[in-house]
Amino acid sequence: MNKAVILGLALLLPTWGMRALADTSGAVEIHAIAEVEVKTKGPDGAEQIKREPAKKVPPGGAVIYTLRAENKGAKPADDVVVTDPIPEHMDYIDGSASSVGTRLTFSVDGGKTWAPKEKLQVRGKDGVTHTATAEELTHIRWQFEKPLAPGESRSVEFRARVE
Amino acid sequence: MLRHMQNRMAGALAIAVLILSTADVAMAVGTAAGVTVSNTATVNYSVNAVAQPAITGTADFVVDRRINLTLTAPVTYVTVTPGTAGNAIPFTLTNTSNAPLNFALAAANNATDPYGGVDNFDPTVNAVFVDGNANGTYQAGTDVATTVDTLAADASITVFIVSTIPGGQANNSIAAVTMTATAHETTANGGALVTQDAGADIALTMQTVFADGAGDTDAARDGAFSDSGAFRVQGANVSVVKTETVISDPINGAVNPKHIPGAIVQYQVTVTNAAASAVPATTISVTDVMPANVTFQPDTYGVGNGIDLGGVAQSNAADADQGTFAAGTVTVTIPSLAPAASAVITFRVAVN
Repeated sequence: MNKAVILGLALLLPTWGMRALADTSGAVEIHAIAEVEVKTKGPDGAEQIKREPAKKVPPGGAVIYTLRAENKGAKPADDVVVTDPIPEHMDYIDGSASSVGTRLTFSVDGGKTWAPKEKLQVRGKDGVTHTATAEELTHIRWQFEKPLAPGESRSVEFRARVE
Repeated sequence: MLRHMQNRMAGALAIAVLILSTADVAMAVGTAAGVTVSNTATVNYSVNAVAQPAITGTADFVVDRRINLTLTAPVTYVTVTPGTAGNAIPFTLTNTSNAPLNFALAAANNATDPYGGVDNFDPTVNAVFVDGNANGTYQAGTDVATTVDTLAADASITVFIVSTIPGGQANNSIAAVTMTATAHETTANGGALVTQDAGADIALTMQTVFADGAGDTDAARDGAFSDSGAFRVQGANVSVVKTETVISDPINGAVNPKHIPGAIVQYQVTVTNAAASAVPATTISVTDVMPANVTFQPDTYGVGNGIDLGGVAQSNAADADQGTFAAGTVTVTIPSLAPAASAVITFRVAVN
């Protein structure tokens, strides 16, 4: 029932190239944004690196995904787990996932099994088993070590490259 | 509820350049331009030890157009004959962009030989053509298009520089030429020159980034690429050496004869096609006008045969053989002289 309301709201939103929507039917909400790093020249001529929303990214471009879990409810949220399938056309950039305050694991089998990246084993086409490469990962998962207090937000992030 | 839509607008920036990783150059064509990449994350949690329904959040962006192209020239010279048109150097053009494109073509003379020799002449005409039937060989009636029409992402096509070589150009002369291909929108999209989008994003417009390298005569990230080939003339180098020897004189006979009136002098004309020539020299005509103060000896090699060609007597009269003497001129025709071959013409005169 809440879902129908949210769909209605979604239609009212402008159809911009960048879309970041959150499901708002529960106490905890998750917000996902995609950004790119841009080299800019400030007014004083000095070079800076800033983050901007990712709207159009060419192949080879790196995108920073930030996922923010926010507890909008009145009670603590326990056992918070954020799961993110690595998007189609993207390759995870090795070592880029944040892990502070979380147990970070990955999947290579579509989310059936999870392990730290260095423990994931994949059988290659040649029949030889090897440790999973960044391109072979299918999902990332963060298990929050502490509950999310009412009103608290916590973010995790990772980077991926457009294939 | 609407505030959950994240919408950060970029601040005012003087110049904004998207940082691409250095691995770009080695990557293949990549995801097609215009594809939407969608990331949906899920959060699971419990309240009071009761598992709650999963919640999702999504972030999308659109894959941009990344322009890249390469041209590959042949690995060595295209050999040509002087005084001919329709000489073609083939180049392979590859569209390594993630979108289809048209390509404009241009040919230019280059002063640098890509194969390490010395560029020392220019063709009189340079034209460009596309290999219409994809057989890798230039065919004048078939390969008539001068721009590449809608080359798919990751596809290749052969294009030609077609040139006219000036007549009389010396053997082993080299003319370097450069082909430049420039990205244009496809015909369906108007065919205009592709330009790179810099600065702030424009909503709902697919933007373009140049990722091409620097070719021979163009810069990196300019939407164009250039590569050079060269023609090398492989004609025949023909040389002529003339010597004279006094054979006899009326006073000394054949012993230490001197060049006194009445002496018989032998001229020998040696025509050589250089060993380094790539082709036989054909239709050679050697003419030798008698100098003043000498008289051609008409019967040196038999009655009426005053000319010797390689040991074969030639009659003075204009007839089927290769030698003629008329109006004070010895003329010998040689149909063909292979590389490293020589023809020796001998005749005698008397000093007046």
